[in-house]
Amino acid sequence: MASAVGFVVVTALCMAAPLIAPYEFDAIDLGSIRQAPSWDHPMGTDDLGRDLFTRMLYGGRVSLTIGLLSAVLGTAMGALVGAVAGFYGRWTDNVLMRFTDMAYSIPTLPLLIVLSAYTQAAVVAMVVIIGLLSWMATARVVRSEVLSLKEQEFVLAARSLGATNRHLIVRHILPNAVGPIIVGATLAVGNAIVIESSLSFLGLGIQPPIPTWGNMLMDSQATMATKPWLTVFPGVAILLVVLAVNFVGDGLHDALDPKVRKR
Amino acid sequence: MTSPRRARPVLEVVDLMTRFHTEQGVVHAVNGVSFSLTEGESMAIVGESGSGKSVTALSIMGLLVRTAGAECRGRALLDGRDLLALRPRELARVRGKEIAMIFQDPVTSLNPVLTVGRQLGEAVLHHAGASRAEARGRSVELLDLVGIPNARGRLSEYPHQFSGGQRQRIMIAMALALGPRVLIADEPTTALDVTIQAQVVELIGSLRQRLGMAVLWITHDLGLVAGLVDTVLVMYAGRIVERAAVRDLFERPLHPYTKGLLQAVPAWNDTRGGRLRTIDGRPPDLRSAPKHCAFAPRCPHALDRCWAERPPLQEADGGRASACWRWRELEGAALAREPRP
Amino acid sequence: MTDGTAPTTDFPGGRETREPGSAPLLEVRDLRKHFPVRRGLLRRTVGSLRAVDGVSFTIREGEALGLVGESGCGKSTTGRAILRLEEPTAGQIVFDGVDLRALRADALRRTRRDMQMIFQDPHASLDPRLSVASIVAEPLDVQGWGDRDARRERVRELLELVGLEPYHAERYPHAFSGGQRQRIGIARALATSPRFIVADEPIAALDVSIQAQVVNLLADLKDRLGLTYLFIAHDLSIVRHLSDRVAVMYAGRIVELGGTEAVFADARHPYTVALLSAVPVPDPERESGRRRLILPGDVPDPADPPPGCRFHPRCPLATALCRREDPELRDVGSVEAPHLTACHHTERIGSLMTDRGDGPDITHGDQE
Repeated sequence: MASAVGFVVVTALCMAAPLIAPYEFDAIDLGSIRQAPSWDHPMGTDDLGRDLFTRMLYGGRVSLTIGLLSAVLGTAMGALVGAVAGFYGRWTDNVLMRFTDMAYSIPTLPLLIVLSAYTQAAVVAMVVIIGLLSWMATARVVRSEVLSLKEQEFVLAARSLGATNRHLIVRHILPNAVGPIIVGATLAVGNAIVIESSLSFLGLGIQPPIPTWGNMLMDSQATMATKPWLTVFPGVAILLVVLAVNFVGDGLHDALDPKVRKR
Repeated sequence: MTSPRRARPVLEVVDLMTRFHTEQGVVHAVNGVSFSLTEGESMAIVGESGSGKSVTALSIMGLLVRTAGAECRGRALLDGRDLLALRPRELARVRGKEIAMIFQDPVTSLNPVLTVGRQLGEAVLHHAGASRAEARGRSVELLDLVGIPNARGRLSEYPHQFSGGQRQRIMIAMALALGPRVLIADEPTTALDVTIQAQVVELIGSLRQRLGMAVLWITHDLGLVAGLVDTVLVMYAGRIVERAAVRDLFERPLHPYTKGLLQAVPAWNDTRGGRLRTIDGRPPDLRSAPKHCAFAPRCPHALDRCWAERPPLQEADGGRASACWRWRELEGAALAREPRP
Repeated sequence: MTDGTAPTTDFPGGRETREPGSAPLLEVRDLRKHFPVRRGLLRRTVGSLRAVDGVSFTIREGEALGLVGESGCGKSTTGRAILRLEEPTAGQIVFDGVDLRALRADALRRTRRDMQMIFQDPHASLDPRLSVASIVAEPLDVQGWGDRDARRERVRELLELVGLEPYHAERYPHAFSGGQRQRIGIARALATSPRFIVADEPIAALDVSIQAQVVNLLADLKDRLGLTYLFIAHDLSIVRHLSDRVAVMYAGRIVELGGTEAVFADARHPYTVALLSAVPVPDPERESGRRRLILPGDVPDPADPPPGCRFHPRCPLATALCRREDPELRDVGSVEAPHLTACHHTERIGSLMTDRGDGPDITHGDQE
């Protein structure tokens, strides 16, 4: 619960960045570069004298957007592919799973590099690319879950009532596969933020001066030893968000389970 | 079938209590069970799911894991040695050699990736320190003993190559490998078909007589025990509610629960139609430990006293015992149904 | 889809109870269900598993037919194939004059309101994520029956019918005991006022003290609603209690079919005799005097059934004829009470248990 609140607060702060940020995110102040945290600059300033707190807020906007949206996209796709493959079986399953294997075998990083070069690394493009590259794990887990679910007697029971396949999938299969779906989604959020960071590290992610937690972390690596706050704040932010998402996922899992839910 | 000699007890269980500490609270699975099994005796613990019959068996065998929240108290004396007080290493030496157990599901009880010969051989080698060849010879003997044809040839086969009934025979062979004096059979035939069940029951019965071991059956099936055992213990909500010789129990149960169970099964010569007698309500929630008789909420004969005070297991005539305040009336069979409270 | 086209009336009130003996409601002819056996890397079909291999019977309106046999004999597959939950490989299923196998998906869905199923495992057959109200109303949703208020009212009626309380509707399955869950499953099966119910081992997963409650409920519902049952079970005493006629299955075939009392009192197939003698009787006097016919060996592999009579490897009466020739079902009963058996040596059945003092026989009770 606390993690859900924390997560919401962080998200809200980031989304409201233009309203609360004390400075412009690209306001360069060469008079106050690499300052330690102080009242004026709660998280210090970077190489160009930009306020780190401001950049954290703006960066969070980008990182969270990419993380959440690409996770939603990837999970939705994975759940759909997995459910359809597992439920229909036979050649549908064969085709979809071989396709999944193929997607898996594509080396992610080179492809990302190529794609981001073409798409100018816009946020939407990043979401789509990361989403399209991260659905396979969910698809596999959901498929195996569905394989066992569809043999359950309650599915047979619904079928004997005259239920259509769509009804079976939407009403019975997916709600009961929600556990692995949520696990997949929470992992995907962290993963997406990290992928974005790696791309930034290679200089292929979201381009400066627009900040993301990823590129801030990467920019700071040279000064990690002398100016630790530049590394610590974005690093801790990523860590906390990924953790919070995991806790929220756990909570969601319980909330959706009638066995755990309080009557 | 009467027990050969009312000799000294080989297994004596005294005030066994088992609890499970779970996230949903403390489950009082066994609440003070005492009984003794004499040498060569055939005894059954009968009860429904949640009665504590299997937990009793697992507690005696020391197979409940403390880290999983299980807590056992009381004593289980095997030849005077308390199994519950033994250290794991000592207990491992006793298991199999002195006391063995077979389980309900012959499919999951065998390791699917090892040959049957290897698994049987391990059971022999483990304790006896026999050589490989000796172990092999003993394995063949054991498979012969439990009636698996072509035993020598089949040692190199894997569990899935045997049928369910045969797998249960292999489990029995493993349990008997070291000639235990007590065999606990926990629902050994529940997963099997009736015609196969008949084979397995017959097998265990004849082995008991040949090898002179005591057998403790754990089952939910009153029909099964009728022709099989000398003494029956009926369990409900973690307690023994009745103890009787098998004939007495069927002829005149001294506890309303036993009576209800017997009446709930259609008699063999029951002609069609008519209603079955039922036991109303549902089995008790073991998370609460009521002060009253646990069966009172479902009992047609319950009195105020039953709600105020839990009846202990009282000795009755002929070596019987009942945990009902009104067993004398039941004995006289003149007990009207009380209005429900 | 329109409502109210089904030729059934809704309870309360129910439709009038019909005596067994009128026209057949269900006719099954030479039903077969073979599963492909696949092996190897390419999952090539290398054979077929004959789960159901030529089963024929009829059930009259208002009658209960018990289908008994051991696991793997094909009794559950038969039940599912009749409802086309498993697509039959061959054969005919005629329900109320309509050939079910000829129906397309849409028409089949409509007939499903007349044919329902009760499942064995009350834990697996209810979706844990749906409330009891949603579970019981599901057939109504699927069949497009009534509006929301009508459905809610119907759910209340149904819960009452099976002995549950209205407030139970808001709860989830995990809050119920096995017996109550089975009642929920029964309420669901009755939602669309079906005429025919396949009950697949409805009490096998329940505790003894609860079994009787459910058996009584099933018997009551049959009387009140004039239901027709196919009652699949391995527990012979319960089948005997609930069925008008009994069919015994072995290795995908019916080996004996007759009136309940006739089959139990005077079994005409050696397998039935063995099955009856294997059932433990809760009566020590009887048990000690009883002789068991204990069969050697195991049920045959349905992918590779023995030639000739499928029971011959375990049969004490088997001769060269049985090893060679597969016996047909033949009638050894009377015109009014047919009694079919698939045994070459049914005349020698008596010799199986000759020196028993007491057998699995029935010494009292007049036959109807």
